[in-house]
Amino acid sequence: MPPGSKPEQMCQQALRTGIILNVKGELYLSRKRTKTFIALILTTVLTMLLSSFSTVIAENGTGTAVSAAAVTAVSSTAAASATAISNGTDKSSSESSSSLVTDYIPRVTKKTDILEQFQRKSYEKYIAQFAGKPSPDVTVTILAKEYTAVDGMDAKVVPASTISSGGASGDVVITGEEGYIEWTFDVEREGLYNVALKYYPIEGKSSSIERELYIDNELPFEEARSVIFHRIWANGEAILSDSRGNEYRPTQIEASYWNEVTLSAGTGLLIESFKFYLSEGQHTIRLNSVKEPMAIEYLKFFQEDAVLSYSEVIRNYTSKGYGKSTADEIRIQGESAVYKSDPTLYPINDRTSPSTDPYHVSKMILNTVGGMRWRYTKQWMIWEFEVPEDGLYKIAVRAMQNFSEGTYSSRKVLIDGKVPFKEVSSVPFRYKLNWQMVELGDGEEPYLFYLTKGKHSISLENTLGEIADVLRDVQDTVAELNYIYRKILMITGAYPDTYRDYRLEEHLPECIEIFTRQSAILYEVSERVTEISGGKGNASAMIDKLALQMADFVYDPDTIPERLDNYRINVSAMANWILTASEQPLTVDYIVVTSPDKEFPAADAPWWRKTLHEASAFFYSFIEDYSFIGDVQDDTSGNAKVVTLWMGMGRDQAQTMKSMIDDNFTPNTGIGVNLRLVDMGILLAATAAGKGPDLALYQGEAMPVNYALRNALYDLTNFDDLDEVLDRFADSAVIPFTIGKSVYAIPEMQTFVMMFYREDILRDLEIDPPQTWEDVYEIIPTLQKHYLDIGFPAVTDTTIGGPPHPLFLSYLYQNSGEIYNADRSRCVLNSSKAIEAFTKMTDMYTKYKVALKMDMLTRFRTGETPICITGYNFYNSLAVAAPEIKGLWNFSPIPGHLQPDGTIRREVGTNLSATILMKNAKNKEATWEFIKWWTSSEIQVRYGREMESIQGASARWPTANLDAMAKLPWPSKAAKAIAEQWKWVKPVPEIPGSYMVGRYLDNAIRSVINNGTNPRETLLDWVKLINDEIMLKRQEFGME
Amino acid sequence: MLQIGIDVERKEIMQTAAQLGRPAKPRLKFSKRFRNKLAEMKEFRSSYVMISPFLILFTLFTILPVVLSIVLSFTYYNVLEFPRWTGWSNYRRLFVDDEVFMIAVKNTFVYAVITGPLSYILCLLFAWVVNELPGKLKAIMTFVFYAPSISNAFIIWTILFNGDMYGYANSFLLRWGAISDPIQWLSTEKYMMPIFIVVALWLSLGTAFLAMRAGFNTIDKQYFEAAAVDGIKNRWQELWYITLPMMAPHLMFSAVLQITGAFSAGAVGSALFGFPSTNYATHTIMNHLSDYSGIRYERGYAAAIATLLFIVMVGTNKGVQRLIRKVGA
Repeated sequence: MPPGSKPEQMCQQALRTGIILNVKGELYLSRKRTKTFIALILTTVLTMLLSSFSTVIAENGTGTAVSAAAVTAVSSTAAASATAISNGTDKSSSESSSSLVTDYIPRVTKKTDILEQFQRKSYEKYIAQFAGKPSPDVTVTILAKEYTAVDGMDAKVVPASTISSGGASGDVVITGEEGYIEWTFDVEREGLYNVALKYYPIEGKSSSIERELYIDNELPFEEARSVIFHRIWANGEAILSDSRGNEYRPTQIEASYWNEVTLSAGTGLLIESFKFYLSEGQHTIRLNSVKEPMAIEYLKFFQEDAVLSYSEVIRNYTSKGYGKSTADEIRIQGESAVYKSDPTLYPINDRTSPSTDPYHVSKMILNTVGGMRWRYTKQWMIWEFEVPEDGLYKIAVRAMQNFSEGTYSSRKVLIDGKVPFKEVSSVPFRYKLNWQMVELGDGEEPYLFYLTKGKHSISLENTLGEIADVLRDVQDTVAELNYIYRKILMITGAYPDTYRDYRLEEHLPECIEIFTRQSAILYEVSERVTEISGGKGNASAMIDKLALQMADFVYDPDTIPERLDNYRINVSAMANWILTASEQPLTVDYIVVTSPDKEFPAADAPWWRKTLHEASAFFYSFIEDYSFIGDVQDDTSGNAKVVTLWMGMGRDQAQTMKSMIDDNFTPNTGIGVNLRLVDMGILLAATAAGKGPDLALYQGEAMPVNYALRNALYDLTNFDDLDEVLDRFADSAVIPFTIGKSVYAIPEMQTFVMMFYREDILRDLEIDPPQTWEDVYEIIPTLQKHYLDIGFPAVTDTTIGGPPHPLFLSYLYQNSGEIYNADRSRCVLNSSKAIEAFTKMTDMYTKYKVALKMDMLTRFRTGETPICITGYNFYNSLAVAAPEIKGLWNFSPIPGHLQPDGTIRREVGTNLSATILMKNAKNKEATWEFIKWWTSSEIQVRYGREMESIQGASARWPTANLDAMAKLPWPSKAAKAIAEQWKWVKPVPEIPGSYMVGRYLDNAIRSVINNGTNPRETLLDWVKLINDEIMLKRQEFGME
Repeated sequence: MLQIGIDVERKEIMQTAAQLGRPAKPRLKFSKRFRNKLAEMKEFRSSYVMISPFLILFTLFTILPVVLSIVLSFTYYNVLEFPRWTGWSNYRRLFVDDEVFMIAVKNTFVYAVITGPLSYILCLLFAWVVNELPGKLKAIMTFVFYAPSISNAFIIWTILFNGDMYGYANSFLLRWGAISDPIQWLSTEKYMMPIFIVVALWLSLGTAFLAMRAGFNTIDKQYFEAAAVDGIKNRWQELWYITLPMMAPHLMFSAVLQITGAFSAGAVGSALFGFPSTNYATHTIMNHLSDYSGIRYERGYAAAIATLLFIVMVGTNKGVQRLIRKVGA
């Protein structure tokens, strides 16, 4: 501070502080103002956002906040649409109606058979019918060889010894995968009987055996439509490890034996075994094959032994004087299960805890079993163990259930094939993030099991436990609720007019009845769910919500139309819940059988060991290279033939491939394979750098020609036996991989579209599945009158530039149109046939107003789109994800073009993936050997089955190999339909610049649909651009 | 007074810099100069060692690829075969023959001109607004605004603008009777660019926003007090004369980020509208580049596009730097 007189200083200081204070005060004030201002803006914006979102998302309850303008807008559009609709409907319905409002409401055909389907003959109703009947303790055995009728089935009587040594005696019958077989038998005492059947799975397509059961030519109840007999699987060999110390999965082989089972519901939704009522006298029993062959020794009508309760069992023990054993702990490793119901239950690796037995910090040690793969009901595993002395033992399972939160997974425990007492027929494994030691006991004391010295077996079987009844009820409910949804939708449409009285209670009296009944059922269900899961959770909240909504519907039916959308969401949420709730995943490390006086081992390691484990696992992750699958072959040494293979799929696929190579390819050919799991995005760069593979799998349709044009692929016509290999596929499958006469890839996957339809709805509307496009045009108005739609392939998918739109291709090909000229040098989509096909196709969306985009699975389930045209693998999604419409749908080839001679042309396009051989492969002969092996029918079938067994039926392998396709576990009817469509598959050739065809065709379609341009002009404009690009590319490759 | 204070500081820094550096010398022969340079490097070797890790990486992974790409732009290169020299033909084709490129340039400029400055202003505005909030709320709001840019949250826009009649926007409009058929928001040209811009703005509060937030935090309170004494009347003056000039480096950094971001936009567009978008309605230069390098395997041509884009970006950045120097002046 500069020197100055004191008073001056003081004066200045005072002044400054004053000002500063003053300024600070003002600043403070203005800051405060700004804050308030900002807060105000923020809250306003947030409220606006929230309110607009909630109006969209939440249920549109009352229309209170409607501004006057909106009201007028809405009502005027409503009026307009009302007139539009009333013009469109047939006049016949007007005679019965008096007012204008009811005039256009389509009459609902009262066909009761549909409704009956939802009040179908369930087992519960069946058994209730015979409530008072006796259960006579008589056994009637029918030897299978004495069958009385067979139709459409390949049934053979053979001596049991030709099938297996031991297990059965005398002659047995092998029943085929189609047709039926029937036995006649006499019953001496009327009453209810269990049925048991002794069977042996005959090698077929590796899926479970399924039969329909008829008694006296009649399906006794709906559940008898699907009786499942499991195949029996085992590890093919001991667990081995590769040269880097990682264990790899043993192959899963069928280890069939003669097995007697009491028949029960295939879905597992019914806990107890079936009982059938038989009157005195002669009866017939018939098994109708759905899939897979099996051998039968006998059938037996008998009474199943009742399972004792634990207290009774204990009383037995004490009366017999059984004492506690003093034996040491017996540890049964989960991965060593001797038999299992599914090949998916193979040993898996767990590295989440250092106390998992056996354990390695970084290597892939197969030390556990189960997991998500052990989630379906009725899957079981059997372990064998040796007991050193007679006595009472206690049992615990070291298991992990970190999958289904808020509920538990149940397992039925069987010792030596029998449930020892009622209490262990459903043991709950509760949700916990870590490993737990689950003791079989009542929560305080362990249950005691009497075991004699020697070999025993213990088995764990997935069972739904208490929740089974609930799910059964809900499944019926969903079917019925979907049905009534559709009925209402047919009257109101998806966007009902809020200001109109639809008088649903008059037009659809059944809806009130259904809502009343189902609401009551759901309230009860919700209570039971709460009870089972021990508290209110998501599930019960969801059920409550729907029950409340329906109760409200009954109270005020006028609100039904506007709340319909929300109702639909609630119902589909519940349908999904059935699927998730019936899944019971569980991982098992080991089972401990030990003396009651000894302690079980600790479930998990102390914290410091865990920390150490995590730290070292992290460290090792820098050292271990998991991208190599299996052994690394040394390709520098001498003349050993080694092939490098790249795959871009998941680890499951790679492991399956590796095990097939190790036990089949390398031993037979002496060629080693280095398999690497890579991101296929690097293939281009790797090839350019000369570090690429010899061959790569799963390449897209356009890729082979693109690479071949740039001299990166080897021409397969250099191999003499190429034609033999190509014979394995449809001719259509190879066309996209050819340039001139050269072939650059071998197909592996092939898919194409087919037509799926809801039989129940079409029957209800009295229309047949369309055969030709004319049929389609005819039924569209009928469907739309009922506010239903056709599910055509979407035109607004964000992926643009793929293959041309499937519908366009079908129109074009069915009318003998072509995309390219004969020598594939120009695009000829400017031909009159192409323009006609294009106009027809766009008309479908512009004139017939078919929806442009939709979630097909959901809408097919609710029935909003009873006809869907989509890839044939939609079948698998439906089979797995939509159990509530099982048996109500079917699929067939797509509609076609009627020819003068009465035949119908049904051409469709196709999607492919392929295997390619790189030009700089070191050993081309060896690589070709591998390609031949991989695309052979035997290997494709095996790969398909193994993939399906790992990932479930939704991942069924769409192989391009015709012979292999026939051997995959498709039900025989479905296989026929696919084969029929396959005959009509016609691919799009790939040429230089062909990516422009898909891209510009999509642009043209969108222009016409979204901007309403003239189809002809639009197409011609774009075709010119396509040809420009093709020219350019042809010049680039010196083809012009 | 404040201005003077800063000037004094600048002078001081310059003086120190002058003392540290060598005094100007008369021009010498090249060999001599080279030797001098070496000697100089030797003297400051510790500094050179310290910047070397960055320098090596920067050269290897940024400078080298840029140079290579410029070289490649004069060749025909399809990745799988060795490049072939073609001279200026790629550029000729780019400017004369390629209609789609012109669309891409137009789109990129429309997009960059709107989103670039707007998102920059938004960043500044929100950074300022958030900075005014009290303690805890400040952190929370920073996260709320920053979060969209780190996640792939723009996917929610595809649900909002789904073309299905059950998509949020369609559902809403159908319900209120505004439309009678669902609109294909993401494939109808007139809606695409606006949606693209809105989504981009929503995503734009990214690193630039954070940098500015940091900038606001670094300013010492003393300056405001001093300025108050010197007669600053309101918050705007405070912002213009103190806050922004003090934040010059942050502003510059953010500007570079936003501009580069605006010109290299493409990924978000592809995720929303597909690649390439319908009728090229949101086709940007980046999209055009990946079309040629990924789908058509014409990397030489793609390199030419990249080179052009590079030049445009450098140019714009220079311009913007000039503008920013005027802040507070």
